[in-house]
Amino acid sequence: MRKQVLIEMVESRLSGGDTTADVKSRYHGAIIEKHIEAAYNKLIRDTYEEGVKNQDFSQLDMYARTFRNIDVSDDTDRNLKYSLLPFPPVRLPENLGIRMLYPQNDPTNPFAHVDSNSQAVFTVLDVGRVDDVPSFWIEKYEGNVYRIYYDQPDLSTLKIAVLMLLPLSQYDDFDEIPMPAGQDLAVVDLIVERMSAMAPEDQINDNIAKQ
Amino acid sequence: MTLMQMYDFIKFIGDKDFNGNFFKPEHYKLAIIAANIDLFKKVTGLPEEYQPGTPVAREYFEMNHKALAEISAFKLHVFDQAVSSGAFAIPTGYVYWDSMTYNWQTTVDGQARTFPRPVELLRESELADRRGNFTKAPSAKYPVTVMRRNMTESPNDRFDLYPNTINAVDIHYYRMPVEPVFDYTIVDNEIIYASGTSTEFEWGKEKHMDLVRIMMSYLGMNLTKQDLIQYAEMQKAKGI
Repeated sequence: MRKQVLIEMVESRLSGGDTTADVKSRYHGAIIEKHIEAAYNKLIRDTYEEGVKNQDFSQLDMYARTFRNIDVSDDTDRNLKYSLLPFPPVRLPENLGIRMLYPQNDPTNPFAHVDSNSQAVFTVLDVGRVDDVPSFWIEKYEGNVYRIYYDQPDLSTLKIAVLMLLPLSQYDDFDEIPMPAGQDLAVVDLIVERMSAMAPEDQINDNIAKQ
Repeated sequence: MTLMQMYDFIKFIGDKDFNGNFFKPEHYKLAIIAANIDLFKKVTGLPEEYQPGTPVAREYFEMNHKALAEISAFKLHVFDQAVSSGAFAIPTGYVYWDSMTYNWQTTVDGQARTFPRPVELLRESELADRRGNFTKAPSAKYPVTVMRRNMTESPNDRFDLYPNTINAVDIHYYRMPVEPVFDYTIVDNEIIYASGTSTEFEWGKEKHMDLVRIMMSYLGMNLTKQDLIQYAEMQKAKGI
C-alpha cells in the first residue's frame, strides 16, 4: 500500500468522507503521516520481537533497502576510516537496523558489526582478531549525521553498499510501503483510535486562552 | 417573476391598487435593493441564528444540493490566478470565501501527476503557529493562505500564500447578487414598466416569493400596516 493511501484511509475514517479545509486542520495530513511513522516503527519492533522468539530475523529484510556507492573517508583526528550513512538508522538491539554492510563488489563478504566500545577491549587481548573480516560500528555525529567507523585502515579504494531498514520518513508520498500482510488495517485502526481521542480544538479567536 | 409582476402582486396582497396610496414606486425601488441584500444574507447564513459556541445558521452555503443550486449563480471561479511573491489581490467584488486550490505537481511511478490540493484559509492568529510548526509547516502539499487588507505594500488587499513559492492558484468565491433596478414612467397616472432599462433580480424563480415577502415586511412597516407585516412574517417563517 502506498504511503499516501494510508494517510487518506486514516483521513477518511476520521472525517467520514470528503473533507473541507476546516476538518483538514484538525486531522492534518502531516500529523497523520507522523502517526503512521510511529505505528510503522512499532511494526518493525514487533517483527524484531518475533525474530527473537524464532531466532530468525530474516523477516526484517522486508523493511530494508540497499544503498550503494557509499564512499570511505579518512577521519584524520582518530586515524580511522568511516562512511556516512544515507539517513539515521532504525535503532534495534544488536544493530539489526543495519541488515548488511559490504564491499559493493563483494556481497559475499559482509562486514561484522561490533559495539562501539569493543575496540578498547579487543586491542588489549593477546589475540584481538581471529579473522580478516572487517568490523564496523556506528556513531552519531553533528546534526543528523551518522558515521560508520571501520576497524581496518585499508578500505579507501572501496565503495560500500549497505542494506538497512528504511524508516517511513524516507519513503516518498507515493512509494509502496512494505508491511506484513494484514498489518495495514492494524496501522489505520491504531491511528484512528489515537487521533479520534484528541482534545477538542479551540477554534475561535476570542481572546480567551485555550482551556 | 419580473419586478413589475412582483410589484403588482404586493399590491394585490395588500389589497390596494396604485391609486390606493399603498406605497410609492420610489419606495419599491428601495425595497427591492433591501430585499436583495437580505436574501443573500439569509442564504449565506444568518448570524442571528448562531448559538454560543456553534456559529452555524439553519441555512448556509451549499448545505445541500438545493442550497448549492440557489447560490451557484453568485459563485465566481478564477482558474490559474497568478501569484507573485506569494500574494495576489483580492478579486474585485469578493464577498465570501468558497475555496482555493493549488495544483501540486509531483511524480508518481515516474509519471508527472497533478494533484489539486486545498489551500487552507487560516486566521492571522493561527498562521504563526502553523508556520512555526515543524510538522505542519505549509508546503506545496499542504498550502495555506491568509486574507489581509490595508497592507502598506501593493496589493493592499490581498491573499498571502505560504509557501510563497506557489505561483498560481484556483480561487472560488462569492459575489453579491446584481443590484436590481426598477425603472418606469408614469403615463396617465399609470406606471409603465421600462423593462429595457430595468435590472431584474438575479435570483432563481424559486426565490421570488421569498423576495416578495421580504419586501412586504418593509413596505408594511412603512405604512404601519400590521396585518400585512404579520402576514409577511408568518409566510416567511412557513417558507411558502
